[in-house]
Amino acid sequence: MKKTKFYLATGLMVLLSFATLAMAQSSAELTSPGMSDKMKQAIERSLLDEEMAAQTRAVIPAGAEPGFLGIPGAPDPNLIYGLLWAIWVGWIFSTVGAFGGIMAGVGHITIFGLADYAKAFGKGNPVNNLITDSIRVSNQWLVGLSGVISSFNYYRMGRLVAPLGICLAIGGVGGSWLIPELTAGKISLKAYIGYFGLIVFVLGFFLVYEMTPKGAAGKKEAKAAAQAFEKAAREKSSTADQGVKIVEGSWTFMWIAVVLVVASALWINLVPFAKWVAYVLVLVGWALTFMIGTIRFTFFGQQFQFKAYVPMIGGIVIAALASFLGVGGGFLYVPFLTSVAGLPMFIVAGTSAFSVLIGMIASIFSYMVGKGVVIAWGLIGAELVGIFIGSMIGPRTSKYIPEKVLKIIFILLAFYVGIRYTTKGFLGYSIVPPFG
Amino acid sequence: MDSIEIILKTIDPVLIGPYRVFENPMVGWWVGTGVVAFWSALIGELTLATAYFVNRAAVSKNLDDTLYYHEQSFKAKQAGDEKAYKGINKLANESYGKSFFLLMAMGMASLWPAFFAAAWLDKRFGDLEFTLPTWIGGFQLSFIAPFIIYYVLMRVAFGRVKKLILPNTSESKIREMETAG
Repeated sequence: MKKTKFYLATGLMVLLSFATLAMAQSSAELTSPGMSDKMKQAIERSLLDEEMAAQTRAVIPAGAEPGFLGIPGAPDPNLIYGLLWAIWVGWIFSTVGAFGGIMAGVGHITIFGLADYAKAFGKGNPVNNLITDSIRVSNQWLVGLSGVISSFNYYRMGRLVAPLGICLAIGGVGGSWLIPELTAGKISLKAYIGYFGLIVFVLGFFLVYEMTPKGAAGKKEAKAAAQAFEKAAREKSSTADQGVKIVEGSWTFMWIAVVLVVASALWINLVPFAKWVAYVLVLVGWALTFMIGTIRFTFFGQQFQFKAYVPMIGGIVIAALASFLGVGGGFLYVPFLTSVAGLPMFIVAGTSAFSVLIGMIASIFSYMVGKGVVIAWGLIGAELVGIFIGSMIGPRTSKYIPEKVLKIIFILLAFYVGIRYTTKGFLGYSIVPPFG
Repeated sequence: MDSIEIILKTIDPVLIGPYRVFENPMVGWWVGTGVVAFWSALIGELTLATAYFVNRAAVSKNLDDTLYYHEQSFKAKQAGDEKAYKGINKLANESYGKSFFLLMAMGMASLWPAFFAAAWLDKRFGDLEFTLPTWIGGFQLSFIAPFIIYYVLMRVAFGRVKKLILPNTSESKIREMETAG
């Protein structure tokens, strides 16, 4: 870091502030000293359009106390609220699992009052879009961190099927940059909430299916089968055989495809011209995956196989959805790898964590480096403290609440959140209380 | 005043000290940020150790169930019963999901000091930009990239030291169980 650079940047900022002040008169009153440059620029840009400027001035009371992201008069996500909500999220993580990620998103959207605030700026307003992107990335930091924590461990345990992870990543990296590229700064909070609600709704249906006699029968059958196999002796393979061993797979095409998709992600984020190059690179990378063919591997002495393009396509869809919603995507990788690819549990857990990690890096990099999205670091810190407390409480309370009751609670919650967000996002008002 | 701001103001005198030890601002920044990363990693490790200790019974129970279903699913696979394998594998996944998310929540929680540190760094050095050499593109990075590198190195170092001096913690026992599959 050069000191002169620092002075130059500060000087430029001061100059820019003066220039904007001269142009838009009151824009300085709408910003605060602690505000990031990106937010200042978004406010200034919104003042260039007459209609948007009126909206921005109406929402930001000049000279008010700074709140979220330093915006004067914005809701201040209270530390205590953040902490309490995160305790609830931590409790869900430690009792029912994946739904915690969704709840973290609900907190960022509703509980802290950020959604209604962002919406007040109106569609297309740069301030609205920046707050929306900030919420999306905050969710990803919070949920996607799981990948970092677990991947390294799984790798050491020999539970990562490298070619499977790579094929998922070939799809995932592309999906992760395509979504921020196509939607960052363009998706308003209203639309984001609508889509978020739809996904929660679908999740609710899955939970209901699991509780139907048909869903429960499958589980019962599997439990009985597990009991039947209890008596059977398993040929113990040597410890050397317990890890993953690749039997067949074309590494050449795989590596070329990886290089191409990574290059596409770097190009779109760092090279300011000829965006089409990135699109060509990612498409060629994806096309090459079809030439990899079948990959076979052994795990605990048993053989498994999959076609390389299957996880690649799954990777594209899951990473795109996860990136769009600002979630880790683990809740989609696990059923995909178990049901579609039919892979054993330890492999599913390891590979999902790895894929979440790759997707998270690509997506956060795209939002933060490529699009310059700002996030409230302190708020996430406070939320993590809450998650810590919640994860201590969860295992203690689950003794007293039967799993069935827990599931019913979450089905009701999923439907409530799903209906509320979908109608709020697409109709403009909620059909469940609180209305509006 | 922003509630997080109050916390940042309180920790400011402690964190800014090491930045002023050296006269050269560049050296000062690197040393100071290294110390911030050290504190973040240390407090994070202590949080994690507490979490493992408090939750050891719950995590062990979940992992026991997981290992049971894992074992039965492989027996089914070995016997050529694909339907039973898929069903039991799903159960194994479900029960592993429980310990996975619990462990994940615990691991995530250990990162809280790093985010407060990032908030503090943002407040103090949010406008700093590091320009990479032109041969790797001349891109500009914010304060967060060097901090993350420092933090990861510190966590790796702490992990190694922990293994050497404290080999029998609740955390190491649970990790052993996880690898037992």
